[in-house]
Amino acid sequence: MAKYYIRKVAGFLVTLFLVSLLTFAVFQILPGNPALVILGVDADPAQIQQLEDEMGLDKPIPLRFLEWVGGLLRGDLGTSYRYHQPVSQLIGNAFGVTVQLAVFALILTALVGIPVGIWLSHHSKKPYALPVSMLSQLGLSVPAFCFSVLLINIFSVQLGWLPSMGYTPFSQDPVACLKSLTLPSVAIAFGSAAVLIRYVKVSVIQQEHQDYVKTAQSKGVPARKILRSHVLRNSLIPVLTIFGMTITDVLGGSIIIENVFSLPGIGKLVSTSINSRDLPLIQGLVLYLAIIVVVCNFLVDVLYSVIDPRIRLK
Amino acid sequence: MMQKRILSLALALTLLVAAFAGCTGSGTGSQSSTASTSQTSTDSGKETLVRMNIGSEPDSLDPWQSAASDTEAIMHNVFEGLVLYDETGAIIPGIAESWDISQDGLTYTFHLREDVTFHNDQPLTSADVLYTYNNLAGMGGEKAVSSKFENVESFEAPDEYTFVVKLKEPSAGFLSLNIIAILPEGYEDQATAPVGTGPFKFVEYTPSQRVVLEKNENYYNKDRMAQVDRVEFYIMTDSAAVVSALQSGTLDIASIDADDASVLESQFDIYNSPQNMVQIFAMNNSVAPFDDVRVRQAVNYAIDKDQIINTVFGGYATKLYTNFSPVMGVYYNDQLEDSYDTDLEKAKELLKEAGYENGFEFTITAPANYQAHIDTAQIIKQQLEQIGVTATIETIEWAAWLEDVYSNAQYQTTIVGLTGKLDPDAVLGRFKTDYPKNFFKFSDDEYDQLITSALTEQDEQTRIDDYKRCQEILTQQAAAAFISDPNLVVASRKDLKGYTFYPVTFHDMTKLYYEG
Repeated sequence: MAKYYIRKVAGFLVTLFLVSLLTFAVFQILPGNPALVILGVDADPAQIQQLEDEMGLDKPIPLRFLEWVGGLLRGDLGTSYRYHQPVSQLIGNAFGVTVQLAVFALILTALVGIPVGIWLSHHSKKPYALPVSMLSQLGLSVPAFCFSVLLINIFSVQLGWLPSMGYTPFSQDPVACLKSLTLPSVAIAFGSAAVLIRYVKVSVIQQEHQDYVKTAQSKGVPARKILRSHVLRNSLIPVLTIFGMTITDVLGGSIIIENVFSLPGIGKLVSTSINSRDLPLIQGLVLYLAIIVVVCNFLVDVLYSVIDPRIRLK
Repeated sequence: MMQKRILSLALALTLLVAAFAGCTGSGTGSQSSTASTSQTSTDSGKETLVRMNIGSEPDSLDPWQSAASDTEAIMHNVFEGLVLYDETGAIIPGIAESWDISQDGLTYTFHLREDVTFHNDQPLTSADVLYTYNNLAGMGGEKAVSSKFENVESFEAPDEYTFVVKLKEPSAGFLSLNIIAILPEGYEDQATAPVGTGPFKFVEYTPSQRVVLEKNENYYNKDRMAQVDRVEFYIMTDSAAVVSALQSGTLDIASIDADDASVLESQFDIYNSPQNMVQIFAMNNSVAPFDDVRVRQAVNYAIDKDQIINTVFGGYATKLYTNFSPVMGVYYNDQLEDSYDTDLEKAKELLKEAGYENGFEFTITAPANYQAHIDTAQIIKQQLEQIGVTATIETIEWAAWLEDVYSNAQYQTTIVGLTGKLDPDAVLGRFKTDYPKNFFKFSDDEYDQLITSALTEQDEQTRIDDYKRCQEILTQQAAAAFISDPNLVVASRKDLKGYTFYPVTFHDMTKLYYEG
């Protein structure tokens, strides 16, 4: 067991190092001087010079990478070129927003996806199920961006119930915070719930054709109990996989959704940092994303073994 | 089974179409319902609030580290210089209530107001001015943060409220340099908590979200006192989001894309004015075939600017003939306004003379983040096809554009907007042979000479004539195809009045007030 963890952690650290090295290298090759991008075409040559000095762009490239790694080992991710703030602080703030968005969206996804999936698995042949499957088909095919525009039009522009943009911190005004996160969460949940519905439905149907269900039925176990204590537990495995992927996805920042709703989350930070060639911030975000992926995968692995004790971490 | 699949597919398609119809239909259908929501948001309370958009993240809140015109447009509410500018671009008193210029034009004596305090309650004296200018020019052991003050011989602060500048050479453009912000001596946190003397105080900046300012109750100039209590600038990169934010009452006033004006005009007041920008189709004067003036002229004759203005900017743009917008007032040369009327025959003739009877092929390198420039490129491509010239449009990322095109002039042609400045030298100086970012690779001896002499010229009329001649040279030499000054289009709540345009981008929040 200990060996398993050591190998996992070692593999993870090597991956992180290679990913950082690669990102660093790519941004050396890409055209674009961060000082010029930040200051724009009206910049005074003296200002560009000063900013370049401040960023340490005059130092040789390998040295800059080593300095960055050194800082990292001391727990210092450096200072963003663009925002003149510590990278860890910027990512921390954005993470706060993205986590709230993720939790909200995932609760909606689960609340809609699981019951509707189970319901559909039993009723999919009935004519009245058609609108529901069509809606889930729609969720799969309509891009989240387009759906966001539709939501904004209905709930912000027409009805005026919810804001179309911006974010209010929870500590400042909990109600306004929930309001500001509702539309983006719904936009994300619409697509992910549609995926979840399909997986739950297929998975439940598959399980219900298994022998153990027939055995239970012949024993006289009520259908409801079969579903709850046997079928559901077994159908959760693929569902968990999808759920894990969705969490990773949302925590990694929904670039489009966050831009449409002007939310200051990870996705927005990713797009600005790349556009402005803000290397320290990009490096920090790459680390963050790698960690999120690894942690989420790990948690999913652990949950597998909780749901199905036959699965062991090897 | 098959039938059922077809049926469900058909139904799904219907739903999808309905959804899209909802997307587009609601733009016009919403007009009656939103008027009420946008009224309620701010009027009732005692504190008045104005919410506006800005299109990009501030580059830095510290004026010494900032160059972006979007940042200046909002931070000029917080910071002030010795002098200010009015709606016509004329220099008016700011922190300095008056100034004297010596006979030889070398000594400027500024008399400071005695009632100015910084937002941190520190009174402003000549020591702060001296500190600011020493840093700007890199004097008194400081490192220069601006290269515009190289002409300065010395700064002095003979008493608490007098500041004297001695120049090496007389410079007619010097006065307008003094709109630059005065900062409090010894204050180190400008980048995070900026402190100025302006009519608004800085409150907060949340990266990728907003910048908040509040009224400076202690502002010294009662005529420029803010009329609203609080201003919030939301950083919004998506123009569709700006429209829905206006319609849903989340913004009170916004600068919008010209295309969106027609959607908003029934619910909002739409203002527009040239913004002193030159949208330019730049041809690299140093590479063939554009090194031949006849080819550049032919391109100028082939381009129909009106078509671009009407298609790309919905008519909200001002036609240009040289690298200068008419908002520059006295310096603008209005004699050039009949040059290069679209004439395909003449264009073909010029191409023939230049030896390109059968046309040629070239690339337009357009910055990918500016849709208007890409759209313009499409139209120019079509227009040039009529004279047998074939263009390929290549879009590149802004960062790459700045490096390849702007800094290294590695391109054939490009389209970009050059933002205007109050000083004609800053606008026309871009075409001087030795200007570091002369990416047009334009070079003309007479031009260089005029630009240099106009800078030190004492007689205002001669200086005006010099700049007018410079504009004429650019037109005659067809240094580029100067297309238009895309107007700044602003949509404002009907009860929010007073938005004022300046010859440079400045959202003057002191002028805004709610009616009733």
